[in-house]
Amino acid sequence: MKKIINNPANFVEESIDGLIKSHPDVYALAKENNRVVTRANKASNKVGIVTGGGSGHLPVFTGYVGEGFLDACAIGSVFASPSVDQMVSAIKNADNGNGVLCIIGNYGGDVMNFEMACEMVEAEGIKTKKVIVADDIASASVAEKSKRRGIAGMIFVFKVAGAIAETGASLDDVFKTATEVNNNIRTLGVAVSPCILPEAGKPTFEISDDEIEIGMGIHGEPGIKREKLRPANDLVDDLYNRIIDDSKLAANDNIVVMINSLGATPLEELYIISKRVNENLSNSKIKNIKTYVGRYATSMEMAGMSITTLKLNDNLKKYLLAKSDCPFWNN
Amino acid sequence: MLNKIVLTNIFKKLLEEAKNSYDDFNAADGKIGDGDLGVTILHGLEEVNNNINKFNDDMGANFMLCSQAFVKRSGSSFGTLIAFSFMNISKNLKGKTECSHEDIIDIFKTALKTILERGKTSLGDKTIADSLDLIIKMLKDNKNYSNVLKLATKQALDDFKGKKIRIGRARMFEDKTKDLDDPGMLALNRLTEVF
Repeated sequence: MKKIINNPANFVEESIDGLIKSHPDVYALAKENNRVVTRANKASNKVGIVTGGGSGHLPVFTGYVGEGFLDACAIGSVFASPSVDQMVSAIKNADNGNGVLCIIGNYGGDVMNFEMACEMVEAEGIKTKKVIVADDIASASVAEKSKRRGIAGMIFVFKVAGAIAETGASLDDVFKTATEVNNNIRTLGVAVSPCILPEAGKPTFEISDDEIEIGMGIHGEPGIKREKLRPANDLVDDLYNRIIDDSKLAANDNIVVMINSLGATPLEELYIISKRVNENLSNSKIKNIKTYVGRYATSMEMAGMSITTLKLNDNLKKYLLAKSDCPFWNN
Repeated sequence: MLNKIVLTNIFKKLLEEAKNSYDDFNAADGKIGDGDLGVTILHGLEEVNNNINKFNDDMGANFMLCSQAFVKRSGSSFGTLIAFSFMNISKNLKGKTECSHEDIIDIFKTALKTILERGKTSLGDKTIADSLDLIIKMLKDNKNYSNVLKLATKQALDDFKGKKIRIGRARMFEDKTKDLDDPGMLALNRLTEVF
């Protein structure tokens, strides 16, 4: 294992500390919990937006705390759910009397722990709602959409929910709009090589040098198929067609696209992918409002990428493009 | 019958067994999961024992303390299921100072119902729920708790040998899980040794 770290046991705490020291105007550590990050300048009169999940995916989850995004985030160990206690702390930090929306990636531990955390804070009078993000089309069929995992598409949910909350909208309205985003995101990815967990010191899965796996999850969960590496255009066409087929996107639909590196895949390769995606969209006469290219949701040094689409209406477009203050997002 | 004193002794013994079986539980879990079952059980039971002097005559309050202990120290879904179970048991036992045989059966029924609902699993998926189901069935005609717990959890393990685990991360390993015990079922069986 070659990683530029100190003691693997301190991997999470040191990375959080570095994140806050690098952006002290954006992030702060919750006073009562060193695994909860909040906005440096807390909002005073709006619905709180909270998420939480395992470490190892930066900027997901913690990176998206900021004005116009999340108010607080509970941080688990690498690839492990935060505890209920941490989630309770995040919710309480985000609440200012207007209720809290919890946006949760669809992973068993995260969902279950947030369910319990919400029940506990509700007993203390904090109103909550939950949106469980399920955008990974490789992980379940359309008929079982609610079973899909949450991956890069969750960032669009964070952004839109964060933006509408800033307007002073009610918890019900924020929930409704965040749910609308969740229903209109589709993501499909491909893994090229594994990552190594700092404390385990070994790869999360094994794959031959000439193989890729379509649809593999960000923790190494099995995907749709394993196959020989092929030219980027062929691969993108395959992923594109699956996303279009699943989402039923059609000519004249407005969308945004995210081309996301899982960690090690460089920008040059992402732009080769973006080129082909945009050519395909143009041929399909689907209107791409904006392409986001970069590291948005990662699995440490895993090589690979994902493509996400979000079908927009005027409302979603307004909130997606609204101003925000987050080091990992350019408006 | 089950009261504060008996419950206190049970949790003290469970902690000792959790320490003894720590590596075995982690190893069993590591074959099909993230290998933290021993950590989850030990940390939860340590926290319960750290607060054991707060136990009082109200059995509902005692189980709530147990729930809070697992909430505080466990990040895994198994630990949260245990915490949810203790919380629901606590609600049912609120104000009771002693648990009758029927109350004890209800404790296991509540745990089973909680795990099935919160864990979104079903009987037959090869989980701890299947062990609890067998315990409940055997307790109906037998008040020898020590024997029932040991027999039921052992029989559950035997009944599911050769069957796949159908839930959680383990389900991804498909046929490989036929030859493996479910770590939660295994842990429950080992922990019943204290009775």
